[in-house]
Amino acid sequence: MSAAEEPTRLETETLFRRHADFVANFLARLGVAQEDLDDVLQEVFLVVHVRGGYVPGPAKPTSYLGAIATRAALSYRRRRQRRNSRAATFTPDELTNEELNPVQQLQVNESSRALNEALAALDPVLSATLLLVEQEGESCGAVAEAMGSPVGTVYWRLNKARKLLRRELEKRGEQPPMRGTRNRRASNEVP
Amino acid sequence: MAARHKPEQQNLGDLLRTLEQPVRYDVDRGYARHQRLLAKGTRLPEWVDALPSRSARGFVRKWVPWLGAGSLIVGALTWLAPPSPMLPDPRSMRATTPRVPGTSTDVSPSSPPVGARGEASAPSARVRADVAPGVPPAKPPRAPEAKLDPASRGQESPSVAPAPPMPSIEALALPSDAPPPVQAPNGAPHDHDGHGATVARRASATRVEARASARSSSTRVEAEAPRDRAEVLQLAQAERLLARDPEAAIALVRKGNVQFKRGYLQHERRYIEVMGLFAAGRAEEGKARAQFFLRDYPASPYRQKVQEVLAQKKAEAQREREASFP
Repeated sequence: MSAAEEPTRLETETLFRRHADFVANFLARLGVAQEDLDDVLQEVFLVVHVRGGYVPGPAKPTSYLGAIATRAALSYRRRRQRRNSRAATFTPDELTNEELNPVQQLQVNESSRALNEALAALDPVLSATLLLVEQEGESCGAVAEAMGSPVGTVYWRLNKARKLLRRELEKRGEQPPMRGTRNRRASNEVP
Repeated sequence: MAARHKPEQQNLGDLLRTLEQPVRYDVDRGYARHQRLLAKGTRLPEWVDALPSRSARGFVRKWVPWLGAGSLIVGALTWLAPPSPMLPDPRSMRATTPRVPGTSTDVSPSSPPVGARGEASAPSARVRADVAPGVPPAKPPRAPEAKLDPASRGQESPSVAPAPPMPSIEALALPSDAPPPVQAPNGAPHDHDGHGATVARRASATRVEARASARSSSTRVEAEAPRDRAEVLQLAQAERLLARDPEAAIALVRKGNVQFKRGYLQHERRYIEVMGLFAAGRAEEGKARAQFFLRDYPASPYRQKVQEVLAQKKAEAQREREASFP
């Protein structure tokens, strides 16, 4: 395929510069420890380079990178388990919000930490699906395309991820959210 | 952000979206490290082949429903078919069934001589084999034992008649002075002493020898570990696919990489993958894979071919650039 025929193909450098921050945060949410974050991220972009970059299609670049990052996170977790070490969860820095008083600020930080821990406790495939759909506003069709799964499987994963996340939050004494609010406009765009 | 303090945000999407990004990544430093790793030639992670390929998914989506429907139909037909007695292996049957002069080869010693009526009512496959031995029957008889039923010979539909109990293999053993069995190209037995016996014998003599040598070689392959055999067969299939369907060849070798992680044909699989990528028009991906291939296998016998393809693609890209920017 000539270069003229695929003008919108994104090369590795472009992807790296635009989306490295997203990949790093995504990996952190999937339970990759901060000291290993750069190594796993480099793995992701090495694979992106070998696969020739991102080709525009139903999946957005973030879905495409998210699917690869999910594999990387799965592999990372297996390696961690082999080393008999606990899967480290990312602890975010203390967040500050000037509108809140110190007590409220403390509660917000605790909620945020609990949510991060609950996300990291899920299976990476489930939490990746949840993050891509709920946080990034991707459609289930795009996620299915990026992950190479049928759309029905993505819906099933999303449902299961919500249930498990609710259970994890309850275990941590947090009040779980009542329902998921996928971006309806995006989620209905099933190819 | 505050899940506890803002009741209108008590839903998952809002809660996740209000989470702060936990990491601030230094992109410039990260990209510099990425370049260094590429230059150094870092090994690819082992999960790279488990990633979905769009073409492989298309192939699966296209064919799996048909395969499933076909399996269902075959299963239903098998289930609905009348029960047959325990039969020996058809191959051993062909090898041990004696040939009765004047009759078709698939007649057992216990069956009576076939008269005119019996020949008229015999299955069409056998009739074709008797009259025109050079022309193979369209389909080998699925259960030749059904024709052994003496009661069914005079009936119009022998397939629905219940089959009698089969004679044992010992009873069907070939006499020591009997000639070796000769088979039609598709495996259906031929008439020895019938109308086309001489022609059939002459035509199939070379095939019998070829089959004997093939049998000995296949015995050698079967003696290997089944996993190795599966790997070899898969690679051979991928190589065949490379010319006419490179996408399928790529999908097959990637599947092989996952299936045979410790296999001894990784080198060949990677070569087929590189050539398949170029053949499929995925030049960017092919170039990257080719560079990794050349790095990992500096003394490969395929090195020259890969370098030639790389040079060719480079020249093509150069020509295209010149054509687009005169």
